[in-house]
Amino acid sequence: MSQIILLSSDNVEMKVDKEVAERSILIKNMLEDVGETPDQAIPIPNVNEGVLRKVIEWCEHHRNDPPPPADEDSDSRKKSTDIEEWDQKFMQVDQEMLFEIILAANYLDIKPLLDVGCKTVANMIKGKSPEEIRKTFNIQNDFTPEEEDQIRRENEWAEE
Amino acid sequence: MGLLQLPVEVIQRVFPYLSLKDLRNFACCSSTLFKITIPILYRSFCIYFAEPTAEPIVSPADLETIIDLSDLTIGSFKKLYVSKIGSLEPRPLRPSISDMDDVILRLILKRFGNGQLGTIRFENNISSRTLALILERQPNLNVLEISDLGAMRELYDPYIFPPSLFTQPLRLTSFSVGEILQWTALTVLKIIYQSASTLRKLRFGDPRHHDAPRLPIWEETIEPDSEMGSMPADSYGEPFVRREERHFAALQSQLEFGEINLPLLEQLYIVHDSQFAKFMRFVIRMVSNCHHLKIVRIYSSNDPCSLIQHLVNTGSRSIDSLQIGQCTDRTPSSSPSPPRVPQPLPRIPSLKTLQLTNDTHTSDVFANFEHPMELRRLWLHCLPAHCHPLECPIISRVFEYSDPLSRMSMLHENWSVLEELAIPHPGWSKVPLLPSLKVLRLLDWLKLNDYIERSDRHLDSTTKMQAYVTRLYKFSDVNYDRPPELKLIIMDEEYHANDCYRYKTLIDFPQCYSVEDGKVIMLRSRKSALRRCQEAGCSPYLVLGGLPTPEQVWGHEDKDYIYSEADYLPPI
Repeated sequence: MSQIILLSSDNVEMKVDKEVAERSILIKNMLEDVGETPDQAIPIPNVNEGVLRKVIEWCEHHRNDPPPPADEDSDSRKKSTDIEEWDQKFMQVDQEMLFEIILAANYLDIKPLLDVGCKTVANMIKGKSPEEIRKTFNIQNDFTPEEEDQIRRENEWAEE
Repeated sequence: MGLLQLPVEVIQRVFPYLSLKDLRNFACCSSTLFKITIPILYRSFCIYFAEPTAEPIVSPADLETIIDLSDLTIGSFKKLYVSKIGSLEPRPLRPSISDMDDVILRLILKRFGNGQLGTIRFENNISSRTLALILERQPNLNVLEISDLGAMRELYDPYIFPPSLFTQPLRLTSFSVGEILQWTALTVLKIIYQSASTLRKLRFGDPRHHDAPRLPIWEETIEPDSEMGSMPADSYGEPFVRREERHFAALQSQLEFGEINLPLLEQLYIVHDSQFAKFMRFVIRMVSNCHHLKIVRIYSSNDPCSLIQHLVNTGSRSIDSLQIGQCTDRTPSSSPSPPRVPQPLPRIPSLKTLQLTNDTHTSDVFANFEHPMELRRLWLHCLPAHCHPLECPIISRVFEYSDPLSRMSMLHENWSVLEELAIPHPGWSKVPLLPSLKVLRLLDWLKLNDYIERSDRHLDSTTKMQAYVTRLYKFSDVNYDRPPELKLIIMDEEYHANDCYRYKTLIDFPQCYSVEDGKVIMLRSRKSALRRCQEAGCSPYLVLGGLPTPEQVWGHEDKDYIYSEADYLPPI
């Protein structure tokens, strides 16, 4: 099993199986372009050590997953937020790490991981009032009370 | 690192997992989130109205709410619909809007930003002033669907919308318009001309119009001609044609263009052409270079074949689907003019799908077709109300097996690539034996049951069907040394075609039978029939589709009816 070396943004080298690293479409395409397994470390400039380890952990666990179905209709509402047990445990991290993972999954083009991340965020929003959502994500309310009242009233229109 | 530091497109990936209520609450958190969420939360701004009543189209309270909407909210809409409540029902009266309604609608339109809207649909009639406002302020419009042009006041005191009022190019990809009157013709033509380089879909006519037009139509409003006196509305003959020519010459002189090239046009629908036949002939004469035209549907027309002939002559060489329905010659019997000779269909080498229904011209529509027929899909149907299906001149010829020279006989030599066929049930002994056929739909079998198969009436229909399939297998084996392609047989009890306002495609799910290794198996659901189609590599047209009913002008992209080769056929 050939291995490759990934270099995190804080200059930490990590050895991973090529098969595991190729869960990332970005790395997979990069390796295909290079042609042969490179000896040098591949720099991942946007992802630090902690996050990269986490991402690799996910890829290790999902190394044998079938490839995701070809781009399904992204508009199709509404999708299930069911997350398999291992992934749920995996995502039990602080918000900082959660968003870092989502960002890394987006950058590295690991769609299934990105989906798990988005589902996790969706579950944090579900069933909450605007005030509770603000609290959860520490969002500054920049509406004046009048504006907020108007926006809220107007948006009772949105039909299910 | 927080939620708001994520790129917008990443945040938006969360939305499909949320209900609208959750989305709404999320949007209300902050102005940033509102802006991100709102394009997903709202897709269209709808104003519903009831049949014309004394009440204004929008109540004063609702109008106030709309006018007071925050810019943030109103700025998020891309589509505007003004829809009639229960618009799927045939309407007893055209919903006419009052002058007050017209003013209200313009007030609402002005609340939207310039260039904001991509789609506008007006199911009521629209005044030319309102139309002018739309065209002036919404240059990014892609889809414009309007019902009749002209508010009540304008109709009787016609205010002709001067084409010179709008000179900027439009970017419409789809344009639908209802009834066309003489004084709105210029505007309609101008809109088409201004969007000529982008138009992909063009629809004329409103299917909900009843046969008797409420308003004076074209012919009657032409000034009395000294030679002819007062002619019946639908008349033909030399003097009338000359007068018509004169009228359109006058119309043309008001246009600063003589030809409309529609290089991207893919779909052309003409519904109830008989109501504005003169206009249609005029338009078709102006239109040319429709190199991409794929689907043509003409419903209720006086002379569909000559319209198609003109399109073909001017460059429409890629039509692959043609649906013609309810096209009787409507010359009134009192007319002194001689009956016109209906034209045959022009030869269209690209044609794969042909549907002829409800006493389409009884002339030899196939006269120009190559021998053998290149069609893959054929649907022939006559309305029992008009003539007995088996006595129909077209259909009976299809079953003329005995005449070796008949080009239409359903013999393999004539129809070697036909894969899908729908015909009135001729009785099992006469159902064609075509090895290439994959899907067979037999129409009206219950109705015809009394006429056909008298000798073996004691047998149930599945037994007869099985006997046919066995015969087909034997025939194919003996003559072509291979099993036939037949995968699916669909039996229609009766086609509800008489109803001009058939809004549901599938009134009853016709009974489907799968043919597997020469054995007939009844299918339980439409789903399994569709799967069978897919396995056979053929279109779901015969399972889903029906007669080309007048298409609704509004909404519902009727995939069931609209059929293009490219949509379904797997690449070869």
